[in-house]
Amino acid sequence: LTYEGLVSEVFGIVGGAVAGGDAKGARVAASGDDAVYRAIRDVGFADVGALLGAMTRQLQTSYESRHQARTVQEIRSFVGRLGGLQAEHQALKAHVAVAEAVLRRTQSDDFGALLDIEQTLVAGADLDPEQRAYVDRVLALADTHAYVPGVDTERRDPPAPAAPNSLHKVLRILCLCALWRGPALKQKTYDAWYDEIVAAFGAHHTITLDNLARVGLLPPPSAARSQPGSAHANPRGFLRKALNLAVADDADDVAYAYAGYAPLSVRLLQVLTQDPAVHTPAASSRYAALLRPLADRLATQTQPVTPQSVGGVRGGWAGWEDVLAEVPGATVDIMQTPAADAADARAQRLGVKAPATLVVFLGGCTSAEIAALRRLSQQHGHRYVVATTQILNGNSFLDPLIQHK
Amino acid sequence: MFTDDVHELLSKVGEDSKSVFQIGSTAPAALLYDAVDTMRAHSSRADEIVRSIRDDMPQAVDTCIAAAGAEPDVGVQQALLRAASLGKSFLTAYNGDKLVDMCRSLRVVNSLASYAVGIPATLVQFHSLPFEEWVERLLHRNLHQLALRICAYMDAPADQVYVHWACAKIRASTIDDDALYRVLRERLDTLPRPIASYVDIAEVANACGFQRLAIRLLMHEPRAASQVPLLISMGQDDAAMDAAMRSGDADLVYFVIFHLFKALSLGDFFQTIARTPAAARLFEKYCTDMDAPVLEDYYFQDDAFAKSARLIVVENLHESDAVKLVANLKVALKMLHNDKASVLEAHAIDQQIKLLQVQQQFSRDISNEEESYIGLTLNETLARTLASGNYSRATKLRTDFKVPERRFYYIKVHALVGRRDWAELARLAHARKSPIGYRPFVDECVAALQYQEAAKYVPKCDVQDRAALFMRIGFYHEAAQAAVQARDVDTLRQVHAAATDPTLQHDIAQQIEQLTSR
Repeated sequence: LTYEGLVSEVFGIVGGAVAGGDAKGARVAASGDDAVYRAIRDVGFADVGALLGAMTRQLQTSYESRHQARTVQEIRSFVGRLGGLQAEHQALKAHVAVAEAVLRRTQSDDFGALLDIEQTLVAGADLDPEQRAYVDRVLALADTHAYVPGVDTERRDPPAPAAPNSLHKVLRILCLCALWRGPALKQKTYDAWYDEIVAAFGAHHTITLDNLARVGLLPPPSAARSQPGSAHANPRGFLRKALNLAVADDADDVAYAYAGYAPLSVRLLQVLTQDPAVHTPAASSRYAALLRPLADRLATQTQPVTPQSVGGVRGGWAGWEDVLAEVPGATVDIMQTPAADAADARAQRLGVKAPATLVVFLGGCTSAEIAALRRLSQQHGHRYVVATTQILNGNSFLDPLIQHK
Repeated sequence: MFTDDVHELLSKVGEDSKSVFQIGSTAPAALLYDAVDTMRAHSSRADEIVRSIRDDMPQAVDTCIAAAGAEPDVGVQQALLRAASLGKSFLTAYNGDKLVDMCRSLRVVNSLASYAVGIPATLVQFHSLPFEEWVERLLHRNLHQLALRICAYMDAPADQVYVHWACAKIRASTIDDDALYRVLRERLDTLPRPIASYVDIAEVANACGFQRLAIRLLMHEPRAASQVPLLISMGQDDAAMDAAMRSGDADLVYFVIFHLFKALSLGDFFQTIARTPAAARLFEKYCTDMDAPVLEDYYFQDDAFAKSARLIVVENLHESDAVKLVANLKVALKMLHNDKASVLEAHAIDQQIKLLQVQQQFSRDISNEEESYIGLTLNETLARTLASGNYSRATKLRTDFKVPERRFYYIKVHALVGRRDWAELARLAHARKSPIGYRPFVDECVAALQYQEAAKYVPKCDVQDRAALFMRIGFYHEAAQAAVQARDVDTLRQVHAAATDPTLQHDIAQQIEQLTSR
């Protein structure tokens, strides 16, 4: 739910620009090169409007400053800046147009309903009747030729609004439900969904459903639900509590990126960096063993951490093994220790002052996760560099698993 | 110059040598050279000579060094170098590297020129070839010890020496594989740094018939990319596959897979890769990506029924001929029946076949339809049937395919509104209590901008929703009434704000009063 994530879902971001351009088809930048974009990309969608407004006003005052120029000197300096101001003006205009379109989408009933459902599911609750009615309607009126922005590469003229009843949307809801629901999914329910999807989108989606099952996103109840070695009937519910994933109204917490859900990946990083958001006293007392920092070259202090001193990986997974056991996928914990002196000398030669932490995502991450990590960077006063194989949004994440015609 | 008995070198005397040795030469270098002798003799003349050289000393030293390089005779070389060294000791800022390098090079050249080795190169020739070449020449003469010493002396890596030695050892060996291996390992294990490449040694071993030795040697080869091809050429397919898998390099594994594919019969090939599950998966992935027809055979022999069925489905995605499509899907269905875990899938394919047959019927009956029904999903078929007014046919479809009530209602309401068939819509609404409630009726009408029709269904909705719904379609009177009924003051106020009719507003104000005063 960051601005960037929304643009990616509503229009699609291709090659650092908004797919389809603005109303005239001109390129609208969506990369870190554009100053305006840099300022708004990580902002939650509720705040984008205000921010753009503030930037416009600032631009306005800059323009107005020409009236204050008295001496020839000042006039000349203003004229020098004029070029830059005009460029900024253009960029702002383009972004405002895009933002308007995106915001219109977020205000639609459809968007609100989907968001509501997703948040309900992640919190582990069941859908209420109205939400279930929404899902039924989507399935019944499914659009098999839905245009999914950011996934479909052909451009439509005029740019079509994101189809409300696409397969991607249905799958998102179903997968979330299967993963986050407290009690295990009933076979009857799974069967019913299977039928619905095939009836709505075609029999070839038996392959899609098989792919989803194999990947573990939508496992049939007959398959073993928990990981081998997992102790919990509801692994994700456990994760939700242990890592405090559903955060209601905390503007400081990284959960702002998803309006109330902290990404699992970021939380895990917070575990490693002994961020107080995760290492609450309640949590620490559960894990009686004090988290001993390993012989990590980045760790410089051994006192109890205060919020300002957090930053960089310190300590390992000690005490959090049961959490790790529930996170899907194998855990690989390797310490690479280059000769400390050589690395220090190298760092000095290259003029590197502060150490940074490289966070690598294999398979892709979302722009919201990146935004959350940027926020974490700010909070910890430590650079987190993100490397990822690709940037996903909710639709492009599911797309490779879908058997298209 | 070579003759039968003698090998002679004839060359022009260089400038440096000339300036030192020419009779009557007064060049600084010559003086320096003399100085050494006089020094030896403890004569005070040495000091005089040195003083007379004075500022030319650096040049004198350089010339002596260069002259030494041109001399074949060791004694003379030494004398010249001593002269240079003497001169250097009088200088404060002279870079001694030249002297050191010359000494070094000369030592190597001299040892090469010794009668035991027999490579009398001049210094110029020595510098014209890279150092490794000289080592190679020594190796060709099997002078490994000397080569090693020279490499150590010149601080050069000795890998090629050891490799060559090992190869020579193998070629000349009469003992068997294991003993030879022990001998080699003894020597090679004692190295401060292990040699980089065992491939060449292994190749030689293989060529000499020491198969087992070659394989063992290859296990030491760090670079899998070199290991694997050789193993394959030696016919060691299993070892090659192991090495490729261990390397984690997918390209190498593919290399082995393709080799096996070409070399073995199809059946044998499948059996072989079945032994390495990861390789089998890679093969599968490749075939899927390349749409390779062999995938069918692979699934078939592997009894992978579900996969075979899916393959058929994918192949037929764009099949527009209904007859062919049905036939192919039937084949897929049969396969799925063999797989116990694919109950749902089988059912889905079964339904699809039935649907296609029904669609074929429709397309035959309705001949003026431009677009065919073939290939539509069940829901789409229902929707289109309804949209064209065939209500009874739609109902039959629904029963035949056991469509759940709720879904059917959604589709029908949507289709009827699309057709503007208000009579049928009303019939639908009143026949039974709607399983989806009446909100969808209202919503669909509103979406189609049919507010009058929408208004008919609002009263059937829940009490608390009615006011807002009436508001949405602009029926303020009714909205006010509904709000009063629901005792919803907030909505009432909203209606008041939105209403344009003053009488209505007045009424509403009264109602608000009444409600709030209680």
